[in-house]
Amino acid sequence: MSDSYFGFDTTMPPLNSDQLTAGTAEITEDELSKNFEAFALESGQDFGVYGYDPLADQLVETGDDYNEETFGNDITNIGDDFDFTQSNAKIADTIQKEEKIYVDRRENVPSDNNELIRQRPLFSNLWDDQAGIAVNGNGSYPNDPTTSPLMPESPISPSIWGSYHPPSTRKGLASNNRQEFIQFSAMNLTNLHHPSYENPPNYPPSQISPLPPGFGPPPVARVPTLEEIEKQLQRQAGQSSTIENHQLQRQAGPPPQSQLPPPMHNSPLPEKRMLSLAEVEAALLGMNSRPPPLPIYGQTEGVYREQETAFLEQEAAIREQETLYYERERKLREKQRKLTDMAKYNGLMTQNDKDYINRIQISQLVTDDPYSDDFYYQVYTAIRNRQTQSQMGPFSPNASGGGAGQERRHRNRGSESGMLKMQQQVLRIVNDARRKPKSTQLSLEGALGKIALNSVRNPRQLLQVSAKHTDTLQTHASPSGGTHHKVPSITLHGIVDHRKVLRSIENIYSAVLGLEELRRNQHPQSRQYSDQEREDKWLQEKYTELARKMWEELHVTDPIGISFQHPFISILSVSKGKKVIPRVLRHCNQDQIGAMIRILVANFETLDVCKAAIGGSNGNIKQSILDEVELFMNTVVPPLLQFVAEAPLKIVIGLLTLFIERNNIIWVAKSKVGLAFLTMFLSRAEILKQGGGAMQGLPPPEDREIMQWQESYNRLFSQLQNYFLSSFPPFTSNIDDMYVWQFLAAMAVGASMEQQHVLVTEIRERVLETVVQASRMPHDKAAHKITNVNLFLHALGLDASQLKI
Amino acid sequence: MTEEAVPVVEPNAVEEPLDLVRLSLDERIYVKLRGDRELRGKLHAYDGHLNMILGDVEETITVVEINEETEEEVIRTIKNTAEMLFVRGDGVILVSPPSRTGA
Amino acid sequence: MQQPPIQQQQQQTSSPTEFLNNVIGRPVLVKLNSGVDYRGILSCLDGYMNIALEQTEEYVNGQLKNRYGDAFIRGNNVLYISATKLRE
Repeated sequence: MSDSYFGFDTTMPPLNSDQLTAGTAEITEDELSKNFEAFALESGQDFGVYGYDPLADQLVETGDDYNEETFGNDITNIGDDFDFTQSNAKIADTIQKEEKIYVDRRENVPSDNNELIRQRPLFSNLWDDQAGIAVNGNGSYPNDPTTSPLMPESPISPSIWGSYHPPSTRKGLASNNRQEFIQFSAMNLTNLHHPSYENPPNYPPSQISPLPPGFGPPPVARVPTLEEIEKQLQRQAGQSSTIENHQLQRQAGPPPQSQLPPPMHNSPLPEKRMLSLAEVEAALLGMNSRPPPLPIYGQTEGVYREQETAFLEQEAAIREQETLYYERERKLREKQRKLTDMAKYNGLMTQNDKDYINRIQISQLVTDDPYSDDFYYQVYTAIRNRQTQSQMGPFSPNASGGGAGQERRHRNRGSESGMLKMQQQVLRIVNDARRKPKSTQLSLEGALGKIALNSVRNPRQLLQVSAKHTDTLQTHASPSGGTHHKVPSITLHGIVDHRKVLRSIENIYSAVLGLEELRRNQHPQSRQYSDQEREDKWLQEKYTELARKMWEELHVTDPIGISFQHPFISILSVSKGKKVIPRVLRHCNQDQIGAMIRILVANFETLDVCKAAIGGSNGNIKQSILDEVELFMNTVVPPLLQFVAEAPLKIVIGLLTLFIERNNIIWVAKSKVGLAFLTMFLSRAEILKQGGGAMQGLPPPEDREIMQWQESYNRLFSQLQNYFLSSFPPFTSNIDDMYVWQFLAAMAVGASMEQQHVLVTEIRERVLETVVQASRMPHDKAAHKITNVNLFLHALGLDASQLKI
Repeated sequence: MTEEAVPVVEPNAVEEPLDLVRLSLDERIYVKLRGDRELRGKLHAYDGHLNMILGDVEETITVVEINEETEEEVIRTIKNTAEMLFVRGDGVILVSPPSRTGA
Repeated sequence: MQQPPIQQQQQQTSSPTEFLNNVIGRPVLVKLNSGVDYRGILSCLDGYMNIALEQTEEYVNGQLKNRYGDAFIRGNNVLYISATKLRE
């Protein structure tokens, strides 16, 4: 029936348990544990350890405002509202007589059920008390010796919890229970399950009345206050609460109620239950007719007895449930108790204390002698030492014995200068951390809790992934016979994988950056110092090493033909690879640059700026490729041009020959970069032929060299014959074709009369078209066109103005 | 960088995931960010947190809007461009280097 | 695309690290906290669970949304890595 009312009660230790009926206990317990779990889930805390009185949170802490008014201290103001026995009081005498007769009769009956007998007198008590309270309510009840003077309205002594006055307690409880019950069943039967009734605004007297004098009605009803009440009561009961706590902690078994003497613990339960059931009856009767037709007891005694046995059966079941409930209730309260016990220690440690302990823990992590401060280890080794010594004799050369002795010595020493040692250790940790800030403490983690905290600055490493997995993988794969698909086209010497190219480029960048830094930090003016000399030597070594690394990563010396594309060409096919070349060349010697050009020339047609930059019939080239060509012309070509511009004819001949032999020259000549290289070689050779090398200190080219050059030139010319026009971009495209005119000019300069004739014949149409086109163009553009054409015409000793269109 | 000159067996190009980002330096990359944002831009610099500096960036924000009348979901994309962008690493979900089907 | 038998590899798996070393170079499914799945060949990963995948396919709600040649996945987003069978 009154679930909600009693539901509230369950949170009030320890009285509540006595008041509960089994059914209500079931529900409230479930609710409680559910709430408890939910809360635990929500807060993610282990309540066994960290919780902070979750039950308190469930209490509705309002509605206490009228406590005083309802139950208050001033008994004269108490009205008759809750006095449902007033009418009974009028017939109290009669009732008493009736009861006496009834009881006498019952006692004469030889019952096999002792409980039944025990219950009988209770009824008389009950009615007595009812009468008493009724009188009390009228303010005329003589003071009970156990009743506190400030709480005269109730005969119930505070010993309800203290328990050293069992009969009175029982009486009081009984009477109160009855009173409340009638009150509630009369008033709230329809609303009993409404949640608001879990905390009825009118506190039953049984909960408030036993407050000791000093307390009064709590201003805000909170469970912690009740804890305090409890403690206070315990103190009143002559028991030190601390002792109890200790007992509790030690023998986690007994519940808080166990402070009550055993008879109190065991006997009241059936009585209470019986009471409530009897009360149900009584209440119903009382509701139907007031004053209650008490003679019914006498008249319906037989029926009553039958009901009684039925009740007893129910009782057994109920009792079982109740035992279960009490068990849970006990555990719950124990938990609560622990929490509050621990809460005492909240804030006991200052930050300094915590830091100190942290230091100890950290020192344990790094110490060479982790056992020195470990009390348990010391004891363990001491015991073990004794044992081994007794087994093997005191002078046996026992390793562990010696170790323990050592440990002990350590310990002694450690205690002398513990702080100093710790300071040193902390210092060492800090220094270590400074020295290698990147090394993670992953392996240490878990030894003494979390050390590495995850943060944006220092994200915590979650896994220890070995860096050698690639090796193991390859060894895994090879015995199975198949090549591992992870490295689809690994070659022993070449880099094919695009990623490998990129990796090489990044390594080149790293090396170049290192080299540049070294150069920046050089101090050539302070070489007189020997220290400086040593440093220079070190710098020089470092520089050489970096330069070697850079050169390696350029893959220039990789043999040709191993891979589809030469690694160096692959590097040059990536824009950042192109960009790095000028910076690389600053750290290369002439031989290295020469080797680079040779590789470039030999594999020219595989360059992206060559193969991809040759337009189809419509001459459309993707903008991205054009960008790459521009980049190549601006980054790679100039330093190489400089090299060629200083090279002797011998080298130029070699390069041109290589160029012709290794590439489809007709095809290459269609690309801007191809023509740029050809132009470069042709003009350099022409300058050298004309003695320009003398300015650079080069000896004039030998005749044999000039012959060789002429040979190469003739080969080039014959290959390009009939294809000169194809070097031009489509006439309609708006690409500036100056580079073609430059190339043709270079060809024309070195050409024989016959070759010049061939050249003019082939190009004449283009010359005329360009001039015509220029005549229809705005002046500045036209001038540019004419200048381009004149580049070629001047080489032949002609001029565009001479042309008649 | 760490490997010493062992010319015969070359190490794998990507030994750790960040290498993938390293190799994408100076390339246009795709970055998927939290909050349905995507970036495409040239990677100028990065660090271990995936903080990145991107150049010439195109940002695409995908917004799912619910039409109040028809209650239909309308997926809308907003595009922004930026010359230079600093991307804070903690928002990064995925980084993809340019696909290399041709080369 | 020959591979050593997977079972032989799995027998050796006794720690997360070992597992990860064994699945490197194999097809994996990477699930992110957001629920997005990535399928691809695991090329490598580091201690922060940053992951490099090859031939990556992005699945949102089971639907293929995107393909990436290579993909770097920032480790903090990773819920789990699961070894999968080769896609048909």
